Amino acid sequence: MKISHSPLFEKPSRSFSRLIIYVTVCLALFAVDTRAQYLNQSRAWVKNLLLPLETALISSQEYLSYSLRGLWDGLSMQRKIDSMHQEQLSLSNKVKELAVIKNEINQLRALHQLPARDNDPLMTAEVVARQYDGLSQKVLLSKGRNDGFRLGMAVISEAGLFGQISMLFERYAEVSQINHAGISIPVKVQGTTIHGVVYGLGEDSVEFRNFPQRYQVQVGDRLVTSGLDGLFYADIPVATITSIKPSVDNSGVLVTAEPLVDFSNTRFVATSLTNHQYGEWLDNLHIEQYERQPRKK
Amino acid sequence: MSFYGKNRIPIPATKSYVALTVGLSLVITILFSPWRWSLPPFLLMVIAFWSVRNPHWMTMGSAMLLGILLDVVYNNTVGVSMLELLLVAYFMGRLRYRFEIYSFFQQSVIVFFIFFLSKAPSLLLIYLIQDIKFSWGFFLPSLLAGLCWFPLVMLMVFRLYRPVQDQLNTHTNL
Repeated sequence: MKISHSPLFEKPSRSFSRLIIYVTVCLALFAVDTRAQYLNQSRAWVKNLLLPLETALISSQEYLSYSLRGLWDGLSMQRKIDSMHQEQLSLSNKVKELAVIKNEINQLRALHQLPARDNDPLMTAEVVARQYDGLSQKVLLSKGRNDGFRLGMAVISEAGLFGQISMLFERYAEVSQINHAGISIPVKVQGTTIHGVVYGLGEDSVEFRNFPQRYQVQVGDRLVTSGLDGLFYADIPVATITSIKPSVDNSGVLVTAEPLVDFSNTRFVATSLTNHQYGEWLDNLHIEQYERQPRKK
Repeated sequence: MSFYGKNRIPIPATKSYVALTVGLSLVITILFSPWRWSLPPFLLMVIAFWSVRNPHWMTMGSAMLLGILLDVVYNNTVGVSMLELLLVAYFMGRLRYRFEIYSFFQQSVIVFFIFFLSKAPSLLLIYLIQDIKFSWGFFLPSLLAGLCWFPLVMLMVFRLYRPVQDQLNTHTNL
C-alpha cells in the first residue's frame, strides 16, 4: 500500500528559488563591477548621495573624539600637576633636611678643624677665536672673569692639558697653549719618577728638559703634569715623546714631545678641576689607557 | 516567547519603527566603518532580527538594496556585502518559526553560525579579486554578533511590548 504525501502539508520552497535568482544577480553585479567597471558611475552617484550623511557623521565623530580627548588630556594633566606638586613638596622637605645636615657637617668640620671641602665647579668654555701668527699660539675663550675664570688657571681639553690662562677680560679669557713660546710646565714621565719641565717652543712640538740625564727616556713615553708647582693638578696628560737626539754641545740629549691635544680642532675646554673630578671626567670620556712601553736594551 | 514577563504583551512593529532601526544601524555602520573588523555588524544584526520578527518587510530584496549601500560605504566591489546580507536574510527567514522558541543562548549560537556561513562566500569573492591573506580575524564580527545578540534584541523589542492593562483598556474602549 502506497502512502502518498498530502499536498496540504507540502509547501513549495519559493524562497530558495528566489535566493538563487538573487545570488545570480549578486554575482553578475560583482562580475560587471570587477571586469567591466560599468558600475563606477552608479557607485559614484550613490556615494555622492551618501556623502553629506557620511561627512556629517564623521565630522561629529571627530568633534566628539577631540572633545573627549581634550577632556581626558585635561584630567590627566591635572592629575600630573597634582602628583608633581606632591613631589615638589617632598623634595622641598628633603632640601630642608639636606640644608640642616650640611650645616651640621660644616659645624663638625669647624669643630674638628678639618679643611673645607673643595667644591670647585667644572667650568667649561668654548674656543671662540684662534691666534696663530707664527709667534704665539693662543686662543680666546668664551668666558672670563665674570664667569669665575682666574689668571694662571690650567685649561684642559678632553685629550689632556691645553694651556694656561694668560690674559683675562670681563667676558673673555686668553689662553696660551702649552706649545706657546715661554710656557713651562712641570711634568714627569708617566709611570716613573722622572721629573722635568716641558717648554713651549712656538712650534707644534714642545721640549722636555731639566730631567736627570742618568735616567733614560724613550720615544713613546707619555708626559703628565707632576703637580709640583701647585698650579697644575697632577697626572694630567701633556705630551708624548717623539724624538730623542744628542744636544749640540753633546752635553746631554734633546727630547722633543708632541702635545696630546689637537689644538686646531678643540672646541670646548674646561678649567678649575680637582684631580678627583678630572679623573672622573676622563673615565667618562673613555680615553685610551696609556701603558709605558718596556725599555729597549 | 515573552521578553518582559507576563505583564507585557507583544504588539506588531510599525513600518516606521523598522525603518528607524535600519536607518540607525546604517548610521552606526557608517560612523564606525574604520573599525568594522573589530565591532559587531550592526546593520546585519538588525536585518537578521527583522527577518525573523517581520519577514514581510525585511525581504531578501530589501537586504540586497541595503547591501549595495553597504558596499558603497565600505568601498567594496558591488556584490560582496550584498551577498552576505542576502544569505543572512535567507537563513534567518528560513529559521524564523523555530528561532523564536529558542533560548537566547541557542539564538546567539545560531546567529554566530549563520553570520559565519554568510561571511565565507563574500570573503571568497574578495579573495578572487584581491591578494588577501586569510585570517580568523575576518570572522570576529560574527562572533561579536553572537555575543551581542541578546542586548540588541532586548533593546529592539523594548518598544514592541506594552503593559497588559493598556491593551485591555484599548479593547474596552473599542
